[in-house]
Amino acid sequence: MTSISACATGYERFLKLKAPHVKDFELVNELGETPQEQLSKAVLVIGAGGLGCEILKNLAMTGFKNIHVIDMDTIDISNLNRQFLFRTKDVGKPKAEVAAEFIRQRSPEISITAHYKRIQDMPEEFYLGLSLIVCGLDSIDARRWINAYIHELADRHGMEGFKPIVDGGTEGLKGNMRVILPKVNACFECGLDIYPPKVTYPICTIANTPRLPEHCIEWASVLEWPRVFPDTKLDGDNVDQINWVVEQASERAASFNISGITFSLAQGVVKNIIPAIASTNAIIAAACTNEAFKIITGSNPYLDNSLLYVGDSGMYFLTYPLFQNDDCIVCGQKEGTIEISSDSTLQQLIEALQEHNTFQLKAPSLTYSSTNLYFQGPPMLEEKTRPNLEKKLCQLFESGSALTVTDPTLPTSLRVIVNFSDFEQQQEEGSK
Amino acid sequence: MRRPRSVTANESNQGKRMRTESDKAQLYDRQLRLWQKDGQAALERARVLVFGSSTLASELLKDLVLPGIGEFTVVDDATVDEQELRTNFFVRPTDLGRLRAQCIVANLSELNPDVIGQAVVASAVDFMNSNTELFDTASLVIVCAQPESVVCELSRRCDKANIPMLAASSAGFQAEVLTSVSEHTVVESHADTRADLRVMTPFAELRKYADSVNLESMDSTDLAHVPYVVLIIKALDKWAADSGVEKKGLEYKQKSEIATLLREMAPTPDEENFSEAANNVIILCVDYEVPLEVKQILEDPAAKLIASNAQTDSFWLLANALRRYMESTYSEGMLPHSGAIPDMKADTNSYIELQRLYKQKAEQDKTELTAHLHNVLQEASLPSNHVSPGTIDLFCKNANRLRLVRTRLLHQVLESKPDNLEELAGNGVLAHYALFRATDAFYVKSDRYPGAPPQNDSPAKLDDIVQKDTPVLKQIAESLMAESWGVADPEVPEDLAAEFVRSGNLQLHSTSAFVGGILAQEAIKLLTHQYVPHSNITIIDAANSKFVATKV
Repeated sequence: MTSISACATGYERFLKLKAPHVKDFELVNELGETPQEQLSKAVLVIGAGGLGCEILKNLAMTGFKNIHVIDMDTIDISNLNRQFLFRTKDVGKPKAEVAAEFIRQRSPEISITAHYKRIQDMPEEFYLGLSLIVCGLDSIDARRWINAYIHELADRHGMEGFKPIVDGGTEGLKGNMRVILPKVNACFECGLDIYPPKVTYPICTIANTPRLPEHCIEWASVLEWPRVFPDTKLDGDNVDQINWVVEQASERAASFNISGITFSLAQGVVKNIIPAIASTNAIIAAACTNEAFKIITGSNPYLDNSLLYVGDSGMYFLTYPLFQNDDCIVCGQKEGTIEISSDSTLQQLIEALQEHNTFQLKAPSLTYSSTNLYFQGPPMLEEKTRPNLEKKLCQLFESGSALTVTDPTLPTSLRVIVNFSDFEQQQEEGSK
Repeated sequence: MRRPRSVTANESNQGKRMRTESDKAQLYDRQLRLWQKDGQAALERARVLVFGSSTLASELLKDLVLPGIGEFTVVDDATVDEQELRTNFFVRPTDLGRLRAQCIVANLSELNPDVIGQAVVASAVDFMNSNTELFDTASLVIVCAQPESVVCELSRRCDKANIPMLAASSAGFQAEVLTSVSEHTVVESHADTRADLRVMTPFAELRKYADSVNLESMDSTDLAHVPYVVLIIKALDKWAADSGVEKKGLEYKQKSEIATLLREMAPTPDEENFSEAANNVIILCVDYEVPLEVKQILEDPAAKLIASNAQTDSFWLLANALRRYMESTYSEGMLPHSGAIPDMKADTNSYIELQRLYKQKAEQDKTELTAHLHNVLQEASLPSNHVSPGTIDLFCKNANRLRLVRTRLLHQVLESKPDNLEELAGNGVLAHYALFRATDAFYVKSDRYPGAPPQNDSPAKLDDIVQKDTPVLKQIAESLMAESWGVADPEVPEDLAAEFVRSGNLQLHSTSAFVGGILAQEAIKLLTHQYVPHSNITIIDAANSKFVATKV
């Protein structure tokens, strides 16, 4: 090795000096690439929001030379308390484009490409060309999709399809980070139960026995809105519409002696708003970028594989290895089993697939052998298969049958074995 | 980003359009859901004084300017160099050679037009000695990447002016954040507390209400709508009558019996409210206990002394009143009730009635506490309206999660041995802490940081410097541990020393962004008096993804 300029600065020092914590640290990797060359390969940042803005800045200032950013969202005024690449004048513009332009201005030597799109809309070649993915998303569904998609790439393309994912998430003064190496350690789906499901209120409480202001807001937004405005979807960002909800909810609350309905609460319930602040995003995004840098350059060992951060009561950090779940529908056996009574309807099976811990599907479509049992869309197919929803499962297939299930959270289909919980009993009755 | 302009102490951003309240509600919506209007107001009143303008300072300030801190002042006389262009996002290539404090203030101010930022071009020590007023009116001092001698001097100065202080430094993947605050009180700690339902010792109105509910006369529909608080009180009564045992200090086995009883009382096995009741027996059927942290506050000398010295701080005046309240027969040894109860399966009327009872109890408790407060105020020769009704209300609502934080002052910490050697060692960060101290000692001795090239000695080979400095740094750290801290057989891992030296004490962007986030979060806690600060140190080893908050 030639002598190193003594004035090497920033991250460069770490690419030129022996890494004390890495055994057999090589300044070139197995493909003969120097760390500089490795940093020139494309990385993708998913999400240009609170975490995304931080991640983009961090990657740019850490030596990454070829950055892609994808986000389907536009800028809202309530983003500006943390998404520091945006200004008031940018409200309404695509996040990915404004964020990329800002980084371009600050660091013109970096190639940065914006995609104002959904992750599902990018072609396979695009994903194959990446070295790594950093996720800064608030949507669980999008994270499940990219996780499953990247695992499928690894399945089909071997090393060429192997794309590490560094995933960050925050809520208020809490956050978490995961390093996902497809097929090597636990995937996003393996740890799905860490994320609590969205708070929901039983319909009977909303309709009959409200106790909390939230119950009245749900009554106004979930029951009353579609009744009064059957053709308009309630828009949580529309001030007039939220004011209507507030008015209706307040009236109902008053009749039940319930207090505490405010605009802010109503909007929070309707939009399922999660509190977010700059400092937590900074901590988690920095942890993500730090791991990304270590994975790409090998300049230090990367995390195995999870970090939990809790900042509201003191400072608490927990790092731990999350284990692969053998039953995982993405990286495990790619097959699920569900038990349900043969008397249940197809509709009830669909609900079970939505609520079941292992599946947590959004809007599953089901096929048995070559029969379309139920399709969520297109409308013609939905209409044609809708009558099956009322049918009992035992009229449609036998216990132990394998259904093919597709769902917006999964890029490919899933095999689900349906066992009838009353199967043995039926057998016995049959033999009598 | 706009071209940086020169900003001096005399020039500020005044005259910019201030946002209206409703604009702010929208802009700050996601944080108002955490610290509410009073937390936001505290942030907007705050004046933060920052020493240093490197990447660490920039990142920290970004996280304070965005949520709308009132004012910030950056003190530094450094200029922008090559290293800074590579790591500091808030300087631009055209800033090379310019005064760094001015560059970052200009670029950071752009993030939020409501925030007033100013740069003072001076060294920390010069500023400290000349700008008395700017210093004394600061709400918080934050020291970024300064030598220990400067940190200690600033700590003494902060102590004199009674200003809390945060300090951070980093070396590559390694960093530490320290807090110095002689006293910090928290009313809205947002701490998780278990539901305060008082089923073991129902207050008079709750007892009366529970007695008025006659389960025997109800049909199964009505039974399914009785709130679990009432069910547990009934089951406890029955269990105590049947067993002849007092409702006190219940053991796990006894609580299980009560839970079983509740399941037997249910009209159908899976009736939701009865299940809720049975599931809550273990955590609710316990003797009332004042939380340890609140006990400490009540036993603090400041909660006992008023008349002799001029105590005017509302927290301590209220703590005085609370201590008297707790000693009175009225309280029965229980803190004022917050008035809040969790949601539970019930029909609307029962739940609303139950809620009303607890709220009424909370109001009575508050009235009682206010009476004690008036005595306290009178004895302290303070007007009876010295503490506002809103403040009293908030104090009562949070009485079971009050917090008091006192840390050692930073100059005391740095000039003596760590308070908690075992805990540091147990957390695996004693060597990190020692290496930070050793890095400073190396700097004092050699006038350069470990791993940094000596001046007038180029072109030196960087790997040679690193190789030479590593054992020296390790040796300094080990003798510090042995001689000053009394550690037998101290051992600093060679790898870790080498990692410190590899950095040349330079800042890496990601580490700085991480530390900036922690500094900002701790600053927000101190300024809003909400949430609970860390003990007094957080150590970040990003090389090994190891993060530890502990006490020195």
